[in-house]
Amino acid sequence: MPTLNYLCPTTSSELKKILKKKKTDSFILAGGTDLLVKIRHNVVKPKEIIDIKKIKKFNEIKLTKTQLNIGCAATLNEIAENKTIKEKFPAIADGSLSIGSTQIRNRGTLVGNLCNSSPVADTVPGLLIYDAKIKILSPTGTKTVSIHDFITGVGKNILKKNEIVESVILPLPKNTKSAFLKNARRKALDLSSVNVAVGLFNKSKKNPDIRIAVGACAPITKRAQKAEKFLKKNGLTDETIKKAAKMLPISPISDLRGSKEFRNKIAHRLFIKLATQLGEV
Amino acid sequence: MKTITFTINGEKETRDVSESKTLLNFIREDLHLTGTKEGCGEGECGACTIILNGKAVHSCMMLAVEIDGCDVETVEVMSKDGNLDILQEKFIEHNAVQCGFCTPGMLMSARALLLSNPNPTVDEIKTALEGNICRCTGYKQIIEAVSDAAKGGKYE
Repeated sequence: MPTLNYLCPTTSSELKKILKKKKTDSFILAGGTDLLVKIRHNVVKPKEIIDIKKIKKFNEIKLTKTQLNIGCAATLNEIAENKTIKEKFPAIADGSLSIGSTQIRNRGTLVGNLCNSSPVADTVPGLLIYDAKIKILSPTGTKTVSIHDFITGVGKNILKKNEIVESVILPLPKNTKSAFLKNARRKALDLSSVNVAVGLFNKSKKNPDIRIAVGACAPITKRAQKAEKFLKKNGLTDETIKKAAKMLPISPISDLRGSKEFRNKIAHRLFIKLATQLGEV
Repeated sequence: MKTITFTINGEKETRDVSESKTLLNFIREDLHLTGTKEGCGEGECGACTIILNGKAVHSCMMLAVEIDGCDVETVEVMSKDGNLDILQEKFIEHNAVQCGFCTPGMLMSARALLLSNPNPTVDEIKTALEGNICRCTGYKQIIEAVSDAAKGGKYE
């Protein structure tokens, strides 16, 4: 590894000053489970590393009356084990738990998973169905954007070079049932062939407020708006669920984690399973 | 170079370290604790597992400078005055060691589990060890060894 300048701010204001001068060969370090691999393989060649974990509030998972804030340094295991997240946002808890291994989840963060912006990211379908908001910190202050506008391509997002994601905000839902499922070749240490999050946000089977997101099947994981609208209009039955499965916004590719035919089939199956389960209870 | 202070296997240490050195290389080359192994070097195999502030982590995917102010344990913490830890004894008893390369990482993952959860179920043991790969395919014996070591729930 080439020589590095390692910066470790302990307050937001210190970080803001560092961000102001941040260059393109300077990289943000939280868990490091993606960054250290990229450095090892010479995918990135940082001259400077900015470690943001020592900023205390970045590590917090905080519940208020209306929302839950997940700080950018909160680890995947902290998130997967958090009582409120397990109860109110199971698709985030289960998505986090499905990543990597115990060791990776003890270091890796949800915000890192988001900022890496991979189409297979296991926390993204959950963030999409809960309409997460992303709080971005820059040298001049903070702003909040919708999760639906954050990821712009494979490995790409709207963050500018002197911005970081400070936290993810999840509005507390009422009457929610939601779940996450992932298909991979093995249970641990594998990326998803397909991952799906589905949530039911009202109690009506006739006009369900259903939200669906299927990952690993398109360059950008998005909500299945057409299928959601169809189900809201036509109700939640075995028949409508099967029809909605054909409306999922998926265009998978064939790669080492599955052929496009396999992915299409699995995406349909996982969605039908989740939607049927949510409709039953 | 950066000066860092940390606790290693119960002893407080202050060292100068290159900012670009991984924690694994620091442990092996600077602290001369060679029980911790490098397998894949990218978080897939678990051979480099150490315990950082009570949690099992990969030392290959961290910079050494990140341990400033932290508590670090490597496999060398386990035996004291020539006496083996119960986990080590049970690994031997159950033939949970073949070539031995994955063993330090397995022991560290198992130790992190038992320190936080003294009475784990078999599923909890499997989850704790899911990031540790054994190419001699000794998982069954390893899981049995950890279960046996946990008996009585008094691991420390």
